[in-house]
Amino acid sequence: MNFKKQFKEGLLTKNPVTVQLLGMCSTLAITTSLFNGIGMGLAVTIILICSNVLISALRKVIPSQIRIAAYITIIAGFVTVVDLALQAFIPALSESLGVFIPLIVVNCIVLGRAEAFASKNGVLASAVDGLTQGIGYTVALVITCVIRELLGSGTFGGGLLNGGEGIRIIPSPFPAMQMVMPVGGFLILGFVIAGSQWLMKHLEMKSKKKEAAK
Amino acid sequence: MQILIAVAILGGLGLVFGLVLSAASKVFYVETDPRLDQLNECLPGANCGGCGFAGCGAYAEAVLNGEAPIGKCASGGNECAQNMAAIMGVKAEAVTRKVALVRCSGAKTYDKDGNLTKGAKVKANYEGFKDCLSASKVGGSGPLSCKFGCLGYGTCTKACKYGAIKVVDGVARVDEDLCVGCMACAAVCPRQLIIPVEPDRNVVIACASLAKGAATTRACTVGCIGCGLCKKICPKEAITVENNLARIDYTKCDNCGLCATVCPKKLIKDSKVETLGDPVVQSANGPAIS
Repeated sequence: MNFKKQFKEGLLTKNPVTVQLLGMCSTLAITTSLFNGIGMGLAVTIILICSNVLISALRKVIPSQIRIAAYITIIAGFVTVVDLALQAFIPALSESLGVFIPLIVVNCIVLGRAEAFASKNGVLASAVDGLTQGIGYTVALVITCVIRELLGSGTFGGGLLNGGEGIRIIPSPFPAMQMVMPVGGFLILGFVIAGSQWLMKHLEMKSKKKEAAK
Repeated sequence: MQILIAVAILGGLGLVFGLVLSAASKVFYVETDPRLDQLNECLPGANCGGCGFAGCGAYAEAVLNGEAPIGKCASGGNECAQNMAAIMGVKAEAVTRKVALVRCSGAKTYDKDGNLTKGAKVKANYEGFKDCLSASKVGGSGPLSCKFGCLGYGTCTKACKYGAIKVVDGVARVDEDLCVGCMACAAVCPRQLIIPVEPDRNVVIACASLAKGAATTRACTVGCIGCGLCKKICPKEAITVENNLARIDYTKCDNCGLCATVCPKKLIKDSKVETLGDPVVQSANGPAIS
């Protein structure tokens, strides 16, 4: 097990949003303010870790024919617990994310990691995988959120800073409302994916140069 | 054997998570206002949308938060409003029942040769999608000669959740016993023909034609030409003529029925004066209701 490698994979080279393109529905829908992005990212991370751990612990018991049904049962259980907890402790987040919290049940990232990683690896490795993939998801969401919020509402940290209003950076008549609409989501997500691709190429070139210099 | 293992595992998982969830729902229990459930019980639960909210639940919540007044539920009527007022600890004004009225009398009758004897003239045969909105877009103003008349493709019939509105002889008719006054039909009528009226009125002007008298006469045998005879004879000054169309103000009208006796088009109908023939509103296949 290589924690550093897993971390790099989750954050960049196998990032669930920018490389695997999983969980697009919630990514496009909720990335309109920083508060939403962090909240959704944390919720998914917690669920990913829990479901990865349990699924990897049960991977030898669950017959392969019914594994998807079993995974969904496990994921749905954790999602409902998180949903109830959010309603109880952070009602503002629960209201702003709305149906997308229950929809984590069918989020491809969670089921994807269960099928691709947790069902083949040990408990500890799966927990780390859940954490790194969750962090990767959260980072991608937060970057998209910050750009969309800045262009679409002209603020930073909406829902969190400045009493929920966010810090105003662009004066109110100028932000482009389209950026918080679906069209802006697609556009910004495209740029974020392009940016991550560029970063990956850049890092690769660097490491090649280093090798050549040796 | 394999099936048994599969069943046992899925069943076991379900059981374990069931227990976890029931524990979680206790731990993370969110207290809701008990009045919300009570309000929901008062409301009819038809989700007709007549109050302007998404459904009965949304309206109950708005009332609880003080965002909506009591008494917007047409379907529940007075009883519902009083019950809701009791729960919220306020007094509600009495809510009078309203029913929908289709402001068109152009029901078509033909003699045995197929000539129109009474009603709105048809200038073209519409063969498209059977929907009033589609029909109203065709040929400038739809297949009828009258730009204001009921098209009779039953868009309102589809919108009615209570089965209270039906198309008879090409004109929509409201069954006032079934109508709860939610006005869902009015919202979908592309010609905005449907208005709420009190069910205990005796006279109605079932026409919406704003065209000048001559044009109305060319288009329909029973259209209001705005002659103003009804306005002149009305002892209560309840009738106004505006844009070639007479309207009755029911806050002044005392149901004397004089206007019905003078209307040259026999458009104003009075259920007290039997000689006037056709009753105002007819159920789909039965006796007059008004």
